[in-house]
Amino acid sequence: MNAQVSQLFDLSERVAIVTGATKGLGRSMAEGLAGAGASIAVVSRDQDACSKVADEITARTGQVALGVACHMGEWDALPVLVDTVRARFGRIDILVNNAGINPAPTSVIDMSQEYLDKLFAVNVKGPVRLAGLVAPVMAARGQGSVINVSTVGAYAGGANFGAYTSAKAALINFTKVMAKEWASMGIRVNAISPGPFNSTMMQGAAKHDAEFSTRAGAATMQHRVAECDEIIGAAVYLASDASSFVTGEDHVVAGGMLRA
Amino acid sequence: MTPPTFRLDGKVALITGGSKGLGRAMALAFAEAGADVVVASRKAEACEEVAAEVRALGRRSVAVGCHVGVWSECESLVARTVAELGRLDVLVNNAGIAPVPPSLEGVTEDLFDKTVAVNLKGPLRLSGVAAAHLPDGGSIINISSVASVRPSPHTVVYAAAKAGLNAVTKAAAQELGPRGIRVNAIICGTFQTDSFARSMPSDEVARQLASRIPLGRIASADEIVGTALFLASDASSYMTGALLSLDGGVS
Repeated sequence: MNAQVSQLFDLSERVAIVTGATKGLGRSMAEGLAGAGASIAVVSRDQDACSKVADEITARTGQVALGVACHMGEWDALPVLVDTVRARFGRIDILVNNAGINPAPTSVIDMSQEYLDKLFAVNVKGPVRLAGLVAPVMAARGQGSVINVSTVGAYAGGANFGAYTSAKAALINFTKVMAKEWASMGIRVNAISPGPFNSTMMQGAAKHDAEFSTRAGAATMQHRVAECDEIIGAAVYLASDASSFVTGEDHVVAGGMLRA
Repeated sequence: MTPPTFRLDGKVALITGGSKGLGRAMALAFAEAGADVVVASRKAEACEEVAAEVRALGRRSVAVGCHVGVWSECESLVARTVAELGRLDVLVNNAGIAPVPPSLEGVTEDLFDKTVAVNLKGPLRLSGVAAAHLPDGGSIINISSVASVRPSPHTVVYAAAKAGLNAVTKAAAQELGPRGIRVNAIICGTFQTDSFARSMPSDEVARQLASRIPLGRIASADEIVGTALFLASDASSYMTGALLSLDGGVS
């Protein structure tokens, strides 16, 4: 066992797809997984941004990184993404479904069909479809780890953020469903639900509510907002063999913010 | 960016129930990760064997016989840790017992008191005593059980005690959070340990049990190591008050 301990969190030879990887938590996780030895497909809508971040990750970690543009809300674009990654790397071991959108606050009374459809397309349909396409690739080698990024708000529900928090709640349920469906294929599926991080999304929320970040930090047991790099440990733990008996579980990384 | 290392260099860990099973696996893994380790359990001689294994890995180790169900023994265990190894960074409340009562009516006062003493009273007191010494960045890990969230008649007392431990986890996390001390629990499913093997009437029963676990198998004792190192180290710096299932997908 002793020889294994230093290898438990090692991701050498593994290939990871990280969506929403050009900024915020996704960017941290992509670089963190590369730091643990993985090759990375850096995915977001903007090819230039993907290529730039991929180059930066390679420069900083020495690992191979490939920028691939893809819109998570476009059902038919996702098979192209998977084919591209497979053609370049030959395998997929890790999928981090991190891409998500949380637009301007909208009450249920004011919610339009277009708004709801857009939120669910990017936050639920895209991640579920992508996982469904990646799972057979993982199954071919008998191992894989899918990490769906939700939010602590999925438990509490957020006033005026209902489309976002309910979509993320659906993603947690899908996490448990996928875990059960794919356990026999050697694929583990878990979620990470971040609380208040000093992320791009949090900075976006501050545009509508200047005190949002301060209040959110005060609502945690640790009385603070986290830096983006503090998400990396959970991602590497769940991606690696260190969590070999963990599946179907949501990991709330929120400084002890109560689930309400 | 400083990537997490999952290392425990320069830290001191105290592990109760450390002489066998999951406790021994964690003691050796923590030593491998750079920590000095206090190995505590009812049986000092068994602890000494594990302490010798820790020393063979190049770390310091102290074996301490201790009944965690006794308030004063918790106090002397922590005092001895700090006196002999100079500090305390990680407390793992792992000691536990799960005697099986014949029925609800058949739960004796003795069985109840012993079960609650080891699984709930001890961890609460040890956490309280340890908190005075834990630094910013300190971590308490409570080893709970899937029984705490999915109780059954034959685990009624054990399950209730572990459910209490889950509550202690959240309350302690809230109190100690502002000081930078994190408190989390691992909700363990079925692990291949000596006490598990003794509790299985036959291989067939064990096979049936494994077939009800989505991952299709019972965990080896070593499979707690990754979760324990994650929670003990700075890799989980923004996790506290969490109850993490380690159960092969059961819950």
